[in-house]
Amino acid sequence: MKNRIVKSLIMTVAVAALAWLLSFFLPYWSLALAGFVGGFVFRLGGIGRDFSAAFFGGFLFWFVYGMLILGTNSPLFERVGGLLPGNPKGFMLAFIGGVLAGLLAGFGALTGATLKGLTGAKN
Amino acid sequence: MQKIKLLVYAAITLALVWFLGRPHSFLPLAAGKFMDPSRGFWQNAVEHSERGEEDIDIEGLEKEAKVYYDRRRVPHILAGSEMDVFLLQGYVTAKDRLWQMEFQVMAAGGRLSEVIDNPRVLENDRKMRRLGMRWAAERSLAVMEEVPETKKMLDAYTKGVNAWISKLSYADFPVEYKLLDYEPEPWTNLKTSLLLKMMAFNLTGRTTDLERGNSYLATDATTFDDYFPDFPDSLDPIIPSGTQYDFDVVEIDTPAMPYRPEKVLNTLDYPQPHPNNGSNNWAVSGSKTRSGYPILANDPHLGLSFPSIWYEIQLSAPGLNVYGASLPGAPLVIIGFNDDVAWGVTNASRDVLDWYSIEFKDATRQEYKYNGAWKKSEIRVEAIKQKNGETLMDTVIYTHHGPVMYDKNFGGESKPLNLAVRWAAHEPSNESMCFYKLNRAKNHADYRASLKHFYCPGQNMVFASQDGDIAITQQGNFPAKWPGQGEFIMDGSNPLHEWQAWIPMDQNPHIKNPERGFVSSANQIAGDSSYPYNLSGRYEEYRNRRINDWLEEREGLTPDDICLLQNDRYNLMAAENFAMLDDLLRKNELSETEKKLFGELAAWDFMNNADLRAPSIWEAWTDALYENVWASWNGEKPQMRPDPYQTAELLRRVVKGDSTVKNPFGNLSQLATKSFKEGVSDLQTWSEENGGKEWTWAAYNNVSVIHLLRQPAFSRNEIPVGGNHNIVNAAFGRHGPSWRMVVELGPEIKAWGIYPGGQSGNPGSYWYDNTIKDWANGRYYPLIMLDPENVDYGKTSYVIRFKGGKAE
Repeated sequence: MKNRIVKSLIMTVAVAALAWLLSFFLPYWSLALAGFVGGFVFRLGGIGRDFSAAFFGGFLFWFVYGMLILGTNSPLFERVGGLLPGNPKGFMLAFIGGVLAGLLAGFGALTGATLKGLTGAKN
Repeated sequence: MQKIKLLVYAAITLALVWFLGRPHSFLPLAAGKFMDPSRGFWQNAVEHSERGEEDIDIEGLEKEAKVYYDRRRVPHILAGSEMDVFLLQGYVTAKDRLWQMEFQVMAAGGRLSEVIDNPRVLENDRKMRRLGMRWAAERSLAVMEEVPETKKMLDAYTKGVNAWISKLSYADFPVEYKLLDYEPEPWTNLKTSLLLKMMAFNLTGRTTDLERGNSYLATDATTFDDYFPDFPDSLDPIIPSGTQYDFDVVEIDTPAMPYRPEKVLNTLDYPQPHPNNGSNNWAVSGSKTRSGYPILANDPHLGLSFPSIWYEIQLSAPGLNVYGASLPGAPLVIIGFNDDVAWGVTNASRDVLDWYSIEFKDATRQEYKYNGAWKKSEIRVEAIKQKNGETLMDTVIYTHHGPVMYDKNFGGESKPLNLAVRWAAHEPSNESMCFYKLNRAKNHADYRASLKHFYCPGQNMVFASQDGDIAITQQGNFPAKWPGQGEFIMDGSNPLHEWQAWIPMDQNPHIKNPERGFVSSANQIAGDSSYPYNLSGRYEEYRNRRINDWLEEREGLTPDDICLLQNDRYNLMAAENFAMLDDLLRKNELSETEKKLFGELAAWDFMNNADLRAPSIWEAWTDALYENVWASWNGEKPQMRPDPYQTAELLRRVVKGDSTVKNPFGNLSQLATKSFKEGVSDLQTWSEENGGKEWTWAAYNNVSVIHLLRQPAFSRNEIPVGGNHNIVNAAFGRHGPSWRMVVELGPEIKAWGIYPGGQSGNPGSYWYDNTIKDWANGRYYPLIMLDPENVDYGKTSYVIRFKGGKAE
């Protein structure tokens, strides 16, 4: 159990780190790629575990990055909120971004983990 | 089973990537791209840092140069050569306003469908193409590029803009590109030409010829002339009444009988510019100022937008040192001052757009009737690309008058209506040369020499110089017309109906150092009946008189006084007409609420202040009265109605018992009372619809600065500023003083200015809307002219050091 939790955490951090690296070269969909690689490499077993580990990795990356930029106190964050349903501001903008990133990474991870299962490759 | 799972997860992942990568009807932005912190809108967040410096290599720069930004983020370009200054103007303007520059020229050139998927946008693109905007820009560009100075200047400016664009990655794109999901394309000289044509359209593109013809047919000739008179001398023209004009008038052939329309026509769906596009300007001689030197003022009235139409800048190079408001997308300063002179512009409001009915020989439309014979037409095929990948091909027939904007393929499906448009902006011209010379002018002679290059839009160019001269010229390329020519739809087959000659430019109305000690214009008529040319147009009747009376009455004027006049909120229309309406109103028929509201009006001092309710009550009353007076003209076909000034004149004459006025208005007392009640009801409805808000003038007028994409999130509403469109402080709805400038000539030129918005076009920047409050409160900022030999670093906050090199 403890082993599984540690492995999940490692996968989360790995997906976040990979997503960050890929973001220098590739646009938003690189999150799905990072999740895919994470799912394939780690394959925790079980839909929930693979999805959630990658989800949190993607979420962490976009959420923390967004929160850092919020520190600029730019008037942009008030204004952009008005473009989106519900008029989210500040923290919520970063949170929504995080959720989108998490979804991309999560489903990417499920795809990667399932492919690994099919190919019979060992962890 | 595992294979099915793989397919499902892969499909969901790809679907998510697709979904987040493009806009949808319920979420019109590509959420994945937009929300990505490494590339999306987050990268447009700007920290409000006061100080900084930067070094940039820029290809094509001849000598090292510096751009100092002052505390309002105005760039002061100190360059070593003329072409460098324009290259850097292109660069720094694009740095702050790239998206606006490109969006505006796409709108002007009928290309917005490429970035916005909307049938109304496509329709508007067709209108701009069929109006000949692109064709006109191409023709003028050919002229601009034949002149070495303007060719080099345009090339340098374009190079500068493209130097900025070449540095950009997706992360750096202005947020509007990310919203609409497209990318900037290279700037070209043609785009600069299109921008200038857009200004010509905004200021001369308004037309009511069809409606005017329908109005004529709705009544008799005598009444029509009474309702729409040639403007009487009492309206205080730009060139004072009584001025004598001593020149030989250009002869044109005039029809034997007055030309009048014969049939009522359907409405045309035409992209009308704002009816109140105009301005104020004046220059006061040293004889009327405390300093003994002239003071010049200008405030152009245009749509209030984010980003602002104007961009403040200083351009300094050997032989050039000028400051003022520039147009993002075009080099030079348009309204401003240098070390010797100051100048400003207001719209001439002359009628330089006419319609010609065309008869084609047959369905092929290869020939049209002209002067008893058939003349060959030309074809131009417009390819309008759309965001969805499709291209609409639109064939436009061109006659010697101009493009046939309305025909069986567009706007005329209900009737076989072929209308060609003759527009002064279609003439090839080089307005840039005027400003090239004006930016360097040293005296009145230089000012006059610069004007001959300015064709369209006709402008009243006010001038003041260090050596004490003041002057004003109504400058433009104006057609010499016979009385009534162009006021209705003309016969395209009749040579007598076409523009036969241009008024020689030295015969345009102008005056220098008049006895009264000031020159001024506020879009009123240029001259009285002694000016020998037709001055048909749409003219202001209130601001001009208020300005002239105010300047006439005062001596020892200071810049502070002039600033007060620019912000004047006196409602002359109310002052002149309240007593008449007060007499007409049947107060015994008013409810208690209505009586109370009328009491507020009766106590009003006719100042349209933002915090008062009386201006709103007056506005609602007179709007209802205007509609009721002309209710019988609300027929099936569109008609032009007499303007509010003329309406008031007609009512006054009826009240005085003038039997020469045809009166379809009925009992005026009944009308005035009914209108007051309706006005009050409208205000109450307005309040209910706006959450119980009180109808202060600020709330009811709702002066707003709207983002070009009409995004409420990027706009500002209910700005508490007084005034109205026919008041000197012409703030009204989404329209008003887009730039205010006051310049005091003297041993040291001093200037003040402000516009509602900010230097940056980035909604993520502090300098996006930082001036709104000060503008609303009538404040001004000192306009700083940095001395290239002795830069006052205390006035600067950021510097970019440029040197020539390879593009980054």
